Amino acid sequence: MKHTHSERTFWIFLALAVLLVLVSLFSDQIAPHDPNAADVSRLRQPPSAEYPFGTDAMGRCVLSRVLCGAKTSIFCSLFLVLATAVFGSAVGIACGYYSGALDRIIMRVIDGIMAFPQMVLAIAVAGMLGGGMVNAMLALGFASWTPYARLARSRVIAMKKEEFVLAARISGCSDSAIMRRYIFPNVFSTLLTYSTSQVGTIMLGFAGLSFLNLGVQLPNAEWGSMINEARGMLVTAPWTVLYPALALVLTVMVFNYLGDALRDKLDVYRESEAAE
Amino acid sequence: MDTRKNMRTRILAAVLALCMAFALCACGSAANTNSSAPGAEKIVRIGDLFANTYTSLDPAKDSNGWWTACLGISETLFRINDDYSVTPWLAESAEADGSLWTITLKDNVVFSDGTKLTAEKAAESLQHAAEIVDSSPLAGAEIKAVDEKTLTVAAETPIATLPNILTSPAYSMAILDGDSALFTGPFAVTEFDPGVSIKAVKNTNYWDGEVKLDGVEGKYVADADTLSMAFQNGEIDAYIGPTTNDLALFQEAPEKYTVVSTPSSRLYYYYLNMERLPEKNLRAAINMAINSDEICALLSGLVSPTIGAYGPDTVFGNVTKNPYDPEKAKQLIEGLGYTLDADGYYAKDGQEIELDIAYYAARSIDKIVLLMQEQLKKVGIKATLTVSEDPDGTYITTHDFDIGMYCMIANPSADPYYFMDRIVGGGLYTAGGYHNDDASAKLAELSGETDTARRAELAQQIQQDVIDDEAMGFLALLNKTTCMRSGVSHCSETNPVSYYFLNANTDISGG
Repeated sequence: MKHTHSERTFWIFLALAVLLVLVSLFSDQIAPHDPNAADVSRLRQPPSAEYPFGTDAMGRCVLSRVLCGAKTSIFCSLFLVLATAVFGSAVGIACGYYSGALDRIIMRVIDGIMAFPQMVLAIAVAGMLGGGMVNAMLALGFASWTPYARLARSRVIAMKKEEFVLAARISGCSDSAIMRRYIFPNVFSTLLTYSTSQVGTIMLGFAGLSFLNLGVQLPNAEWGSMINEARGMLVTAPWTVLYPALALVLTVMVFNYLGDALRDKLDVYRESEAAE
Repeated sequence: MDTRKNMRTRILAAVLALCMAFALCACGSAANTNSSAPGAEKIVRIGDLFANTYTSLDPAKDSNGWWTACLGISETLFRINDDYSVTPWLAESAEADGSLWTITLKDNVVFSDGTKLTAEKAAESLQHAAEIVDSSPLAGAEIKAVDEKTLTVAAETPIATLPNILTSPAYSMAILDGDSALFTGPFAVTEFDPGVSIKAVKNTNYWDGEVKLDGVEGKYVADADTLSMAFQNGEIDAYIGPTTNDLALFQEAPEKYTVVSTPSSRLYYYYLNMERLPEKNLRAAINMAINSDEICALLSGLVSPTIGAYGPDTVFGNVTKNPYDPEKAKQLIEGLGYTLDADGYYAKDGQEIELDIAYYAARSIDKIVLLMQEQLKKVGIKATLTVSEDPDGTYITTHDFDIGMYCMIANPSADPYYFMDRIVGGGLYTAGGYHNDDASAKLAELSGETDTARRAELAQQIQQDVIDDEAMGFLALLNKTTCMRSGVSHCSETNPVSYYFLNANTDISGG
């Protein structure tokens, strides 16, 4: 029963996540208007048939901007999660496998980075690098690769004394082959679960940096910057804030639930394997 | 047993709910309201987005004088009236004889401790400012007291508009003593936290009638939305410069707020880089593509339209420019050999026209550049935006822009020389690299001209030169918009000058 339920939940959220990715991928085609086209004759218009999410303080279509903002938010988050996961995992696996002085140095650096709250560190780095989405990605990336390294390292340390690793070594496999063929597949599911749950966090991080004008630059749309631009209009034109905020909340929820569902699914899978 | 446990849980829940209710009450705005009950002190609190820059009480240093003038603490020898005329304030009169100015002081002016404002004290204040104020026209002038109420200012080159210059808060009358200072205004400083807040109480020795308030307070608020929130929840009673959203919000609730707008002289404009855009017709096309009426509509209520650097109703404002004409703009570009490419932008030899608009995100300039970008796109000109935190330290100095946005007070002393010197004088603010011999000659004449009508004529001619050479674009004039909570009155709201705010007649009641 539990198996079926977690399976169903996983597929539902995966479908929703895929839907969000597709929507953001084709946002230029779906958007009913040019997201950057300002028009002073339609400033702060409430939602209507022509502008389903209303218009903002520049007379731009909020729906079009939310859709185009999805592309920035979702793709930047997915790319960054992938990049940090690959880099962090590689560092963690190498450190765990080789141990030694370099491992200790890298782990102390990671301790140092992790001593700061992720967002505070990202703000500091983005503040030094300046605004822009690339700099925001570097800032968030600098602050978010470390958990992957720690996670991978701890799993590898526990795994490297296992018989299958020793057998591979005795049979003449090189270190890189052992790490790629025998260790990585065994830590993959853990890292995948963690990275899926990180998509929402990174998305919020981007929105936070854009809210502080450290992310996407004018006139590009991003949910955080849209909320920032419109925060003064919560009373006079609430649709300018609520729709990008809603899009952000829903997307983060979908990716967070997907991460949870994936974890449940893999747990169930492991339990089944153990039972067999 | 279960019943007893349930009862305990309910009691605990009730206690927690009560605690929460108390906590919520503590979050209320009772502490923020300014009591106007009979017998209570009448204090008006103002907020300011730039008060972090006011780091001492010396009015001549940086722009500290603005803050003390705003709060009705400091006063000057002359002042600017609602119609931009200049009249004596602490002075009685001023007369020029060649390069010698003789200023007579009012008899009854005293500092807040009762010390009389004598010619000697006035001369000391002016001398101090002349030494400190950057590029002061009084620098090098001999300023001395002739008798108790008469002082003279003698300069090597005649200072044509000394009374106008002396309206600047930098030339406020002050007795400076280390970190403390005495002024002549209706309020006397009691507490000053540099860059954060200032408190002042009624000056019981005020020379110009009864002061209605018991005191005033000024606070630094870092963000426009925070300032608006502080105003709405009663932390401050008045401020100048709401956003467009706030303006709409306040105007919808006249029973709670009074909002008064008057055209001021803070000018939104842009430089065109003469070196990077050498073709006059391209510059003309850019100017014709920018619709300043749309900018006024975008910032509805916050700005007033203008053609030149000064409002059309002022004596310096009689200038003309090409109207907004996107079709003509396209023709001019096509006349230069450009054709539209597949992306809808004009290009020549495969090279699109791509303009870099440099701007800084203050006073709604970020909104203006977004609109300008769209307007340029409509005539086939691609524009990219480059933001800077410090325009003076970046693109204004390096000239690294095609279109450089700026916002400056064009008429700070009811005289055109200040701004004309900046845009054609060749200094830092001639940022587009504009030079015109005719305009330079007129500027030289303007610097020494004493006839007011001729000064106005010269200012108009210089502006016309700039407009005809397509060197700049004058977009709009920011209104001085004063927001007051119900019951607050007489905040110099009809005066166009931003540093006239609280005064002896400012009052608070009801509300």
